[in-house]
Order: sequence, then structure tokens, then C-alpha cells
Amino acid sequence: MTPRADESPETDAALAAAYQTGDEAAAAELVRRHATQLGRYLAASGAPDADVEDLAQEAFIRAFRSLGTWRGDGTFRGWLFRIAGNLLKDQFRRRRGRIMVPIEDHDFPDSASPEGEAGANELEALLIDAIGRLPRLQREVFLMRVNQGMAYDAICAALGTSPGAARVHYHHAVKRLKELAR
Amino acid sequence: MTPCGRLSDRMVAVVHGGDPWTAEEQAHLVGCGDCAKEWKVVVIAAGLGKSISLDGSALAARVTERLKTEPPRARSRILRIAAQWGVGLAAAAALILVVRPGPPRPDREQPRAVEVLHELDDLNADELEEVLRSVEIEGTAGATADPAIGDLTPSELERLLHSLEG
Repeated sequence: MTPRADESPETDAALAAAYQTGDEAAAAELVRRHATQLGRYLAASGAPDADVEDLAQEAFIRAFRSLGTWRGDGTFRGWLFRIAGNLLKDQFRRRRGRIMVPIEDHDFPDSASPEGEAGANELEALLIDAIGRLPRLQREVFLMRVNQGMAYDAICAALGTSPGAARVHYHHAVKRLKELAR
Repeated sequence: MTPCGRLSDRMVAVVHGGDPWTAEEQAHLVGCGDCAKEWKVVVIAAGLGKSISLDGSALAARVTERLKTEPPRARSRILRIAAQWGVGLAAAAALILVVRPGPPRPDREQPRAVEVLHELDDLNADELEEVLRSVEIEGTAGATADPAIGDLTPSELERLLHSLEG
């Protein structure tokens, strides 16, 4: 397997095509290119830290084995996130869902309070929990946009939705999550 | 668009470092509680998962190794789901042949005809088509054709008459 430079100029689509013709190094490059962001996305979506690596690995395996179904009209990363979202959904279902705590029972602590670090960690945990309980499309649009900084057109291509619908999902998600902040 | 809407649209670009707030935007953020809440959520959400560090090279090695050594499971999964559907369809067909119910009674709640198979959720269009193809029953084209009146037995004719009379 020939290692590729991190600054490889090849596009994701070119690497995907190369892998389909038997170039394993192209697959390795795609993994290196997207592993970090995929891990972050999974963690932000509520995957336990201990499961993130296994889930990421499985998401890549599924992606490479179904590359023929990637239409290429969206980004590889967005498509990968969609696969990862399916994996997470399966995991939650196998574990019979997550422990549900009514969202109204919590308020975000004030990050400027003397509690400092503990407060910030609690804030993150509450937000992850609240994000995990959003409807799936709201959660995925919100995280792709805010956590990953993806543009609406890339999000739409990944999720198969329209820009208008994506904006609506985003604003519903933000509205719901804002209720926790004070 | 309202100032709040404009600010909301700008938050992602600002939080990812592409474009800082203008003085005017900052002033709005300080004075608008709703925008301040949204900004707080955006800032925290943008940082979620930053503590996760995956070794991309190690992960790449594991993924390529698995791709080489593990047989794809998708096909066996499709076959398993197809088998479930096939058994279900066969059972349903057998039940219809045995029971041959009369016209539905409006006062009775109808049973659910379809059970959701969550195993199908993750399949893509091609895989779903493959499942459908695999559960197609040969010779079903003729099975849906209406029988001729002359082929019916006297009791079937009587039942048909009752159904037409309501």
C-alpha cells in the first residue's frame, strides 16, 4: 500500500473512484482525511466516548462497501455522517434507547459562574443529551451545520432534503436547544 | 430579515473562525437576550467532541485490513431479511387460502396489514430493490386476475351476491 501525503490534492470523489478500481491506499487516505471530524460528529451526536472509534470504523467499512450507491452529488463527508447516523440509531435501538430525562428538568448553568470547569462540562453534557433527543433530521442538520460548519447545500445533499426544509429543521433545533440556555 | 435572523445566519461562520462579529453585531448580541442564548448554544455545540482524538492512520490500517479480510455482510443480511419477508408472505398467503374471509365488517377494527421491519431502515435503494426482487413470488401475475363468474361454485356465487347486496 502506497502512503499518500496528508496534503493530497485528490478530491474525495477521485479517491473513492480509485478505491473502486482496487487502490487500497485511496481508501486509507479517505479514512485519514475524515476520521477526526467523523469522531467529533459521533461524539456530539451522543455516542459514548468508548464507542466512537468502533462506530467510526464501522461507518467507514459500510461506506466503502456501498460506495456504488454514493451519487457523488453531495460530499463524501456528509454521506459518511449519514451512515454514521444510521449506525448510531441502530446502537440506540439495540440498547433500547437512552435514559430519558425530561428536558425541562434541566437548565444550562451560567458558564460565567464560579462553578467554572464543572459547570462547563455539565453544560456540554446537557447539550449532548438535549441534541440526542431532537428528531433525527433536526439533530443531523444542526450538528452538520454548527459542529461541522457545513454549508446548507452540502447538508441538503447529504440528507436528501431541500434547503428550505434544512433551514426549518435547523431553526426548530435551535429553538428547542435555546430553551435550555439562560 | 430581522436583525436577529441575520445574526443567527452569521453565527456558524463566526464560531468557525471565518468571519468575526462586526461592532454592530456585537452590540446587538449584548442587548438581545434571545440571540445571546442562541450564541451560547452554538458556541458549545461547535466545540462538542473536540476531546475525541482518533488516530487516522491506525484507523485507516484497521479499515483497509477489514475490507481485505472480512466478507461483506450486506448480502447475507439482505438474504436474511428476504427470508423473513418470504416466510411472512408465505404464511399470509396460506392464511388467506384457509380462512377466505367474507367482506369486512365495518364495526370491527381491522388488523394491521403491515408490520414495520426496522431492519430495512438502513438499506439503500439498491439493497431495497434487491430485497423486493428476492421476495417476488413467481406466477403472481395471473393470481390477481379476476376469476370468471362461470368458474365460481354455487356457494361462492351466493357469497358474491350477498356482498353485492351489502
